[in-house]
Amino acid sequence: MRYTGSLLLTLIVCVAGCTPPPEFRQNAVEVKKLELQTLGEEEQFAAGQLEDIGSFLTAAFGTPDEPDFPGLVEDDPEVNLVTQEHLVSAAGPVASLEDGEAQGLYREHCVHCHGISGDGSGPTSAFLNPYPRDFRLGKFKYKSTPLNVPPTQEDLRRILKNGIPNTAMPSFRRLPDEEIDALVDYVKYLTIRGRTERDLLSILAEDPDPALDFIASEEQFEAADEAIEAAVESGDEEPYPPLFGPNDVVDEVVFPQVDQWFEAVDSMTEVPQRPVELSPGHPDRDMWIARGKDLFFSTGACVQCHGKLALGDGQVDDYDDWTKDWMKTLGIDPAETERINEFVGLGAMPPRNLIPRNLRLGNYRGGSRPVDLYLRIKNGIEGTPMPAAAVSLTSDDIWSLVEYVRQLPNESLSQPAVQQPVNERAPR
Amino acid sequence: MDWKDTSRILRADTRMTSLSDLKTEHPKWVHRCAILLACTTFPLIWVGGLVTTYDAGMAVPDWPNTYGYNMFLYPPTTWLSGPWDLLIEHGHRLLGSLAGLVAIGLVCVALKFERRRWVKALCLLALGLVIAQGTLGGIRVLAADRAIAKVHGCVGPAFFGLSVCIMVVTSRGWVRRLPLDQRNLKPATWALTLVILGLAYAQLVLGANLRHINLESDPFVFRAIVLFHVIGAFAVWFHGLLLRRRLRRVSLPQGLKRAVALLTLVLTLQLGLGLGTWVVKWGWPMTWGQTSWLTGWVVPAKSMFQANVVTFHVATGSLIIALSVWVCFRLARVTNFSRISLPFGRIKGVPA
Repeated sequence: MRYTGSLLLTLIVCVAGCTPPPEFRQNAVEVKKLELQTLGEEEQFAAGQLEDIGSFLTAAFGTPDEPDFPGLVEDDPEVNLVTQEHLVSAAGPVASLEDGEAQGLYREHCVHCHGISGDGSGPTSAFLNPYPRDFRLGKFKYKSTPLNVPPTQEDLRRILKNGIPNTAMPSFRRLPDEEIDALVDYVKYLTIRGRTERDLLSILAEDPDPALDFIASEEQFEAADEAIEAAVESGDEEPYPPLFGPNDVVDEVVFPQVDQWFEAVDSMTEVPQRPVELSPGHPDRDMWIARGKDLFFSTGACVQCHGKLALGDGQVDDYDDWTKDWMKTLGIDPAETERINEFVGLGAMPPRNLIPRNLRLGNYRGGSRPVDLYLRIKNGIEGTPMPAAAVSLTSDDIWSLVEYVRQLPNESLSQPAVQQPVNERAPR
Repeated sequence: MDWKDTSRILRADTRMTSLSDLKTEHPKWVHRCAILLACTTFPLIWVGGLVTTYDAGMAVPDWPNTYGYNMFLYPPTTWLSGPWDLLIEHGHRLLGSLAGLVAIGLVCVALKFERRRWVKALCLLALGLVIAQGTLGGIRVLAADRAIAKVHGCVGPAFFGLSVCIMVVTSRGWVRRLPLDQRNLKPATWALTLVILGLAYAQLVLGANLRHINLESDPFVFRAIVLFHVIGAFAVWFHGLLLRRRLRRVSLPQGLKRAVALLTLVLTLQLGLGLGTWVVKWGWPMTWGQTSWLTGWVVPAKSMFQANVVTFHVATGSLIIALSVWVCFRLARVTNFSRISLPFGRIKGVPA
């Protein structure tokens, strides 16, 4: 009887399978892409160099259970991009304390779609449309900053609180602000970690010499110095010194990204006041809306993707940047099933065309406020074919376009068709 | 002999008579205990579903204690006025303990009053299962392992089904079986109940895999499970309708027909709840059409509405298991198994 409990436990673990702690996954798609670009079909990066990158990432960013962030200042949390407290409460397994403090927020709310590594391929991702965001590319669609600038804290907070209509991204408005902020910090953490990995792989791809020590520890640096000195003394060929030390990577790869995130607030797009002519009841309102319509078909070039009737039926065969990043970069045709499957096997999502928004339904994923539409038109939508407005468009032009788009659902074409008595006989 | 002795003998006689009746005719107390067990188990499953929906399984990190207290001595005020996760997790443990106590009571009553050995064995099995289920819950907490939660989620409904089974086999309807010539249900029709039961349980296992999915599992595995879960849902529903149709012209007790009608109703409700679960978890799929209302839908994370729809779906799955067991065992008593024709001849021991 003494061993019954142990036997039972062993049996249960055998049947259920013991779950090991989750680990960050290597960006195998990026590795494969760069190998094909720089080395050719059959060649691969040296395993040791990829291990160097993995070891650096673990040393600098920790693990999914024990995250860390390079350069955190303990005494002055205000100067940090993310706080250790937020990372700890967002990371790790789901639990809650007796006082209700939640832990493992990312695994409770986000991981099923966005995945442990923030690669957008969590267990549920395959049947979601659109696919969940892969943070590692560092691109965010709905924000108040221009293209290629990270979103602000408030942008990410708003998306978490409001959710994204017509997608699987839920609204977390019931979560306390502290938990929302912890999740926002964790998203930044995963983004910077993912981009660091991509940047390091790009650096490796520039000089993929297998003899090179890619990222070396202090001890390896000292050993290399000694080897070089010995070679000089003996007149032998000098070995290559290691390319980077961990601190070099942090200074040259991680910190510039952190600076970009800090500076995002300064880059926020200023939204001017809506012209009074567009206020309801103003005599010139219709004229301004007609101007918006003209721009829709001419300078704005909206018609190309959204279609003549704004039903989102213009250009429907394009892809988002997350797909283009590997498919278009390598010139893979979507019909090449075998090659596509090779990348899908490595963690990429199967290519899916990006359909432009049907503007007649009156719902917009980035928010339905006039200011949201202004920002979408002015800055474009990062990661998608939706471009930033042409420089020639003034703020008044953009406001005219916004109002034209906003009134589209009210046009008769957008209303459900009234049943006509088509078979009714005409009176004799 | 004084009046006290006479009174004692009379009382003993009366008790013997009533015990004898219970043993031979209808073990009422076993039946009542089984009803109580089933009635305790359903809320337990419901609260267990809530625990998973709210990811509150680790709200109490120790087991069998609760934050260092003996589970039963944990201050009620701290529990009831505490955070929601603690409320449901500790409540789930207390309800589980209650089910365990009722199962112990059932075994005691069955050992005393029940004559049939296999029914006693079923009661003992129920007790073993409830202990195993509690242990599983404990290991899930101590090992902080979602894979064990998956097994825990599958054993619970099986235990519920077993308690309903004991309830049926100790009922008056089971004990007073019909003579063979009055049993007019074909074995093939009865076999449909087995198909429903098997499919419903398979559905439940698939559902447990969806709810406790390994966080690192391949997205295409999840998609495959969802696909099979949807196909399975329609398969159970179809077999439910088929059973009801086949029973339409069979003369059966009214209560039994109502039970089958209830089963088909609950199966239909479950389809709707499955659809609802999809919508409150992942939104309206684009392929279902694009209207202004649908495209404006935002998934409400951790809202009461979302939690209730999802948990209702989970609890209804267990209810389907319970109803299937009930219908399966009740119909078995009106099935003429002597009509089974096998290519190798009759089954030995089955009367013609």
